Order: sequence, then structure tokens, then C-alpha cells
Amino acid sequence: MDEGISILILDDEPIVCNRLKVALQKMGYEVETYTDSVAALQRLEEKDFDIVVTDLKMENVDGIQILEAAKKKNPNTEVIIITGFATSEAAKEALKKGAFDFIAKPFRLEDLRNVIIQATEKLQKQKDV
Amino acid sequence: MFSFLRHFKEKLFNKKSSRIAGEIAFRSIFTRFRELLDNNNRALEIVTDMGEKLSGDYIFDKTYIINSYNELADTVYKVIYNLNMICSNKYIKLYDVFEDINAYLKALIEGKIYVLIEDLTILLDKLDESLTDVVGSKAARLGEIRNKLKYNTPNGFVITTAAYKRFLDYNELTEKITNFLSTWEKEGEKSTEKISKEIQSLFLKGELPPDLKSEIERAVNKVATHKNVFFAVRSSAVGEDSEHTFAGQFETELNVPSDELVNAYKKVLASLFSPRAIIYAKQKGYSPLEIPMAVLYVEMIPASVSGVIYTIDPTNPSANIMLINANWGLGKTVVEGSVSLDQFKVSRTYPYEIVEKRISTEKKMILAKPGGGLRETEAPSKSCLLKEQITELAEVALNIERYFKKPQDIEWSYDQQGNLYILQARPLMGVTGPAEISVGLSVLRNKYRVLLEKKGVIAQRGIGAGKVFVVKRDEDITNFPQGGVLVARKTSPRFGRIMYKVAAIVTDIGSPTGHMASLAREFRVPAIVDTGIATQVLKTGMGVTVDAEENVVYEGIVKELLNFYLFKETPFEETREYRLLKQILTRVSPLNLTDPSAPNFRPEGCKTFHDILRFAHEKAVAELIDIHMDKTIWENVPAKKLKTRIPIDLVIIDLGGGINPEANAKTSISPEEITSEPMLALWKGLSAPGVWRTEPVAVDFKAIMSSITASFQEISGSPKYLGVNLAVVSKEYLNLSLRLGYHFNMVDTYMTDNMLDNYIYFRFVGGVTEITRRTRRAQLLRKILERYDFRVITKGDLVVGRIREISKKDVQERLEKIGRLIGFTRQLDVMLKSDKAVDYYVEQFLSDKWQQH
Repeated sequence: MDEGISILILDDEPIVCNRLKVALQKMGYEVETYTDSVAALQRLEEKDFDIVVTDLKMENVDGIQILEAAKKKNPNTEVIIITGFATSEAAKEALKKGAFDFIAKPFRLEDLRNVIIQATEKLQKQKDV
Repeated sequence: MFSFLRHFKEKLFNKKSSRIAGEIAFRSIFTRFRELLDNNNRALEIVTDMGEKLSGDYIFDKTYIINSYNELADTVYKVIYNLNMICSNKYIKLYDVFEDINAYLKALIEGKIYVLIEDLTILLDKLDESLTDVVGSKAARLGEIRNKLKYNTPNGFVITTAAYKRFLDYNELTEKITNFLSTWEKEGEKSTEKISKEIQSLFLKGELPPDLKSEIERAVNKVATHKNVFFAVRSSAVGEDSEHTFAGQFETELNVPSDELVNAYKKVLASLFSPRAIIYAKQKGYSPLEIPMAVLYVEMIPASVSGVIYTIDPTNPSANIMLINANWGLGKTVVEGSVSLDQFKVSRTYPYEIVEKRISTEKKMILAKPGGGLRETEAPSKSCLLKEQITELAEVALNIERYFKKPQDIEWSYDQQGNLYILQARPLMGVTGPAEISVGLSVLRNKYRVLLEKKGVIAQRGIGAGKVFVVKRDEDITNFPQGGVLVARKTSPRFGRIMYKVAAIVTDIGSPTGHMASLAREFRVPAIVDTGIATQVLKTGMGVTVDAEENVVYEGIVKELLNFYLFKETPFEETREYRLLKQILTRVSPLNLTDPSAPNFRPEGCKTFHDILRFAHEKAVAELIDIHMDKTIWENVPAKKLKTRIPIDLVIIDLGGGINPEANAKTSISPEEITSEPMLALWKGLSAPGVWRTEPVAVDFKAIMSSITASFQEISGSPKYLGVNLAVVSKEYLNLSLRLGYHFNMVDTYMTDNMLDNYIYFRFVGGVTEITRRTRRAQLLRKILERYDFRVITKGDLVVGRIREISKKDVQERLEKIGRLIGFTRQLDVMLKSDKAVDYYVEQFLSDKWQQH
């Protein structure tokens, strides 16, 4: 069911990227990770990802810009926002701009997985239609 | 500011000051007390939250660690401040203790821990991975193998990174080296050899600080098993074998006699600046000066056979095979690959069959020369390892792999007596693993039967597979097989002994904060606890795979998952963030101050934030009680009389929420108008039918004489106990002081929905009879209170009972009992004519027969 779904993960903390990558690969997703938001932005222009998981607060390009870029490239891409402490206002802003959901650090792997599964189901439904 | 407050309080508590001053002062202290409780709770919540993150079940980053630490430090500080506000800065010393711990934690977070751990040498016996930044990865791992897994390693010690820094400073090397390196930058690679030589000679000509020299001598004397000991001296740089692959770049010196140890140290340090090392550093974009270098000294093992074992065959990672290269004599020949060796390919599955062997017939070996140095000589042409030795090696290597959660590259030796020693272990580099690594959980479900799913709680993440072994009784653990999956109804303290060979744990009962969980965490064994049905589903002998990440147990060995975990995942325990959090918690969460009467129960005894919190809470409660002891505070304070049929003459002072607001204007109230929850609970017991004996007890002649002649001091303990019967109450607080006849009784209690806030303090002293009978009453109270789980101290006729951290319901029940107890014991000492009577009345009370006596 999860096969062929591609995910881009962007977080400036390597530990977040590494651990999410492994967890999602284990579920059968194709995963690419970036700690540099500029590089991630470039990659987003080259390739359509089904799901993008991005940190909100980063140097250079922030999560909102990533969200906008991903949606512009492919409106069907689902974007999940990771927020740090006390940035939930900005996260709500992201929801208004079309983010699928947001999740606050620190979080359980299980929580993120559930969000990803929901996003996957939504993608699947769209494909079926 | 503090002195002003002290002055303020003293003034307020002065008898001659205004009539309501005492009450105001107490109100403000009570407010501080509640703030302290709030901060105390918040701090403990943060501590728990941080501890939970170690299970691996959460994604967190350094920002989380920093934020949690900041809030925690802030909250603990406030607790200390609150306490000192309550008690006129009696515990100002706590600020210093806090600063000590805090400085350490700050240094950890800023990555400057070497500034604080100033030990120049540390014995191998004391090493674990939490010291990685001080002793380097190689030494830290060897410490884990020796101290946690309990395998033989040679004796030894480490010269720390702190010592390295001292060496650099002592010889003023940093600036000189920086200059050489920038010259090298300008001149380019053609000058590499020259510059490297210049820098290395700075090291070799350098002098050791005198204290470092004597530290090394001391360490040598401590570890040496005999005179004339020789050492292997190895680099142990921070980050070696993990973040950076310096493999083989730094020097190892073998068979070094004790008078050459200092030179060997300098040589190993100098190897940081070998041509190869500085070029590598430049390619990776750091300066070799940034690498903190520790040096590991281990005693030379007079090896008969040595070698290297790879737990995976790097050329064929999916083949389920281990690779052993071995030779007679010291391991140098094997590491360098300089001569022809014996090679064994061994199955990774018990009984570790030899799949392939190649015995070299022309072997040469290297031996240690008696006076130091090495010599090469002819070696026997037969196989250098016996079958049993291969089995032992395979077993030990797999346990080490399981512990470090990565394929391992392990150096080992057998001594002349056939004892196996582990010389070093590190992750096997350059193994990428089988290509088909991505798993796809849904695919697994089609292939393997799911035995348990989402049944319990993950106590330690990871994946482990093996044969189930159900442990029913403690005796069973002696038969626990290598690499088995431990299945048990509940945890046992005896499991610790077999942890090193357990592949995974599944239990029926347990909690992620319980004993089993901490064992699993300590030994990094994947564990699912509290499944309820593990022992019913999993039977001894079944092959299973425990996925303590998804919370699933599969039937059979799920190779896909095992490979995935061996090759793909960086073990969570090896991430910087994990190590940092774990190190921080060592000065945060352990509780050393458990006994308030122990001599270390003082500010200087606090080793962790948790200790500070415990200490502050205890002392804050004590202070509150002390204030009530000083009855002068309450003189002339407007209070309300309690109207009741019981002849108790009780007045009530309300601090807020303790009395129905409609009764505010009244000067006397009825029990129905009390809204203080603890007061209500106690009153319920005190006013129960039959509790309050009104008829006078027949006092015998001896007792009367005693009450007449006893001095005032002797009877009451201290004059300040004399006063009215007073209850100071709030919604959740009660302090009740009773002077009934000739004894004094105090109950101080806090009762909320938060267990951590709750406590009951019970104090009883005095009586009408001679000391023997009063002591008997103390014994009676002790026995009864202990039945209700109080911690009780008695001293003559003084009884102090304490209980804390119990639920609201438990406080309520106990206060009701105490209410009954107060009535029950009022004049009981008169009746306690023998020690037997004590037990009689204890039983009377506990069996609720107290109305009839």
C-alpha cells in the first residue's frame, strides 16, 4: 500500500532527519533527507514528492516557503510541518496556507507515522478519483 | 534583598507588633510554600519528561534538550528561592550547590565538559560511554565491555583529553601549531612532510606537567598485576571510529616498558599530526587541533593466539557469516596483515558451525621481548584456534554486536592459560549491507505471522530475534540460552545477570519506568513490557522476532528487519543527542537523599537537581511545622471558635478556602461550615460516635502522683507547646495543634489532587503518667502509624510520623484514622500498665473495637 510513495524530509537537525529516514524507510517509503533548506528547495523544483515533511524555523528558507514551493510545483503534494517550542501560531498559519498537518517537537515516532499514514490515504483517494 | 526580608519577617513575628502581623506573615509564607510546591512539581515533570526521551520512542533534537534544561534549571532555582523565603535564608548554601551542578550541566551543553572533568587519568574500571568526550570512543567502549558486559579486558587506564589540553598549554603548543598549520595552508601540499615533522617534534620534545607524570605513575601502580609490566599504548581520540574514520591513522605502541610510557604518550599525541592525518583533516574540513585526544594504556597480554573477528563478512554482508583471522602470538601480524594467517568463516547462528577454514602452513608470529619491544619468529603450522575457542569467540562477538547494535570489528587475544581477552571493539567500517534494505511493513505481514501486536508498552526500542525462553522461576535463568528472547510474567532482580546474552524481552506485566525497563535500557535490549499475554502466546523454543519499534512480535526470524537494524540504523544510543541527554540526567534525576534523618541530608549532600528538590520540599514542610510550634505568632489573631459537642476548645484560623465564606463575619462556626478538605477528613474521625471519651478515666494512685510531681518541662517537652487548641486551615492545608490534658499533638498536612504535594506529618509528645507509660503510648502510636505506612521515629515519649507522595484518597483515609487515634489515645497512657497492653490496644484500635474498651 505504501509502495512508490516518495517523501522529502527537511530539518536542520541531522538527528531528526536520520531517525525519521530510517523509520519511514522501514515502512516502505522512498525517503530523501535534507538539512540544508536551500538544497531542499532546489530538489523540490526538480522532483515531485508525494509528501514533504519540513521544519518550520530554519535559516535562509523557512518552512512556509518550502510549503509554498511544494504546492506550486504540485498541488497534490501533502506538506507536514514540524514545529519547535512556542511556534504553534506560525503552524496554524501554515495550515491556512494548505499544510496537511503539523506536529510539535519533541514527538513520538508513532505520532508522525499516523500523520503520514493519513496523508497517504488522502493521496490514494485522490488517485482513485 | 534577603536581609530586608529577614528583617521583615522578624519584625512581623515579634510579639509586640500588631495583632494581625503573625497572620499576615504566615499567609505570605504559606503563599511561598504553595509556589514552592508548584515549582517542585513542574521540575519533577520536566525530569520525568527528559527521562522518557531516553527510551528512543521520541524524536527530539538538541533544541529540546536545551529548552528542557533551561526551564528545569530555572524552576529548581525558584524552589531554592522559595525555600529560603520561607525560612529566612536558612539554606543559602543550596544556591552554591545549585551553581555547582548547573555549571557542570552548562559545560555539557556547551560541549566544554573537559573543562570540568579535570581528572588527568581514569582507570578502565571506571569507564563507560558517558565519559566518551573525556576518554575517547575506543577507551569508553572498552570500558563498557569490561564493566557492563563483564568480559575480560586487560587492566588499564586512560590519560584523558583534559590531560592533553594541559600538555598543550604547559608547552604552549597551540599557537605554535596554529602557525605551522597556516604556513602549510599557504605553501600547499608540497610542504606536508616538512610541516608534519616540525609539529611532531614539538610534541616529542614537549615536557609533561609534573602532576601528569605522577598521575601516570600512580595509575600504573594501581593497574599493574606484577612488576615489570608492559603496556600497549593506543590512541583514543574523541570521534574516532564514529563520526570520523581516522582508522589506523594514529599510532599504537606495543610492549612498552614502564620507563617508556611518557615517550609513548608523546608519540601517540604526535600522530595526530602525521602527514596522513593532517591531509585527512583538511579534506574533512576541520583542524587536527580540534580533536581532543585521549590515550589508552592497557597491560600487554602475553598472548598465545590473537586475532580479529568481524561479525559480518564485509564481502558478503547478507551471508549470515562471521569472519575470524587469527595467528599465533601477538595480534600485530593480524592487524597489519603482514604475514599469512589462519582464516575461519563461521555461521552467525548457534552452534556457530565452521563453514570454511584456511589454515596457513607457513606462519610467522610476533612475540613480546622480555625487556620490551617485539621480535618475529617461526610459528607452528597447525590451526591456531580450537573448535571450542571459535565457539567462544563467536558467542562473545555476537553479544558485543548486540550491545553496540552494529556489526563489529573486534581485536582479541588468548593468553597462555587459554583465557580470552577483548583488546578493542569498534563498528565495522565500510559495510553497506545487502541491497534490498527497504522493508515495507505490509510486506512483512504477508510473509510472517504476527503473534503479538500493540499489546504492551515499549520500554526500550530496537529489534531482536532468537528462540523464546520462558522464565517461570528464578532458577530457570541459569539455563537461559545465548541470544534467547526472554519471556516472563514479570521482572526479577536476578535478570541483570543474563542481560548480556538476551536478544529481546517481552513480559506480561511491567511499566516503562519499572525495574525491567531500566535494565533493558542499561543493556540496550529491545523490550516490550505489560503485554498481558506474552507467556500465553510465546512458548519456549519458538523462533520469534521482536520489533520493539512497531510493538510487534513476529513468528520466525525476520531477516529483513534484522538486516535493516544492523546496517541502516545508527543506534540511537550512539547519537550525540542521546549521550548528551543521558549525561545531563546523571546530574538531574538520581535521588540520593532518601532519608531525612541521614547525616547527608543537608545542602552539601545534594548531588543532583532531584536531591535539591527533595531536600527543599522536606525543609519547607518542616519550616511550616516549626512556625506552628511558636505559638506567639497566633496570639491575638482573629480566629473563630468551633461550636461542637466535643469538649475540645478549638479555634480556627482560615488562610483561604478553609471555611464557608458565609461564616466570615461570625466569631464562632459549626463543623458544617468547615470547607478545608483535610480538616473535614480529620474531623470525621475525631467526631465519630464513641471516639471521644468524656467520662474520666480512673487514674491510679501512681499515675496521679506522677502528674503532680512531674515538672512542667518534663510533661510538655517545651513550654512553647502550651497554647490554645488551634487549627490553621486552607482549602487543602491543615495544621492542627492540640494540647489535650498534658500531651501535645500536632498534625500538619497538605491534601490535593497532585500526589507529589501531599503529605501528613504527625507529632505527639507528653502525657500524664510517668515516663515508662508514656513511652508505651509512644510505642502504641508507632505501631498503629506504621500499619498505615507512616515512617515513624520515636524518642522517649515523642512520636513523629511522616508520610508523603500518596493519593488524595489515601491522605483522606489516614486523616480520618488519625482523628480517631487522637481520641483513642487521649488518656490511654493511664491504662498502659504493661508492654502486653500495648499490643492489646493496638489490636483494639486496628480492629475497630476502640469504642468498647
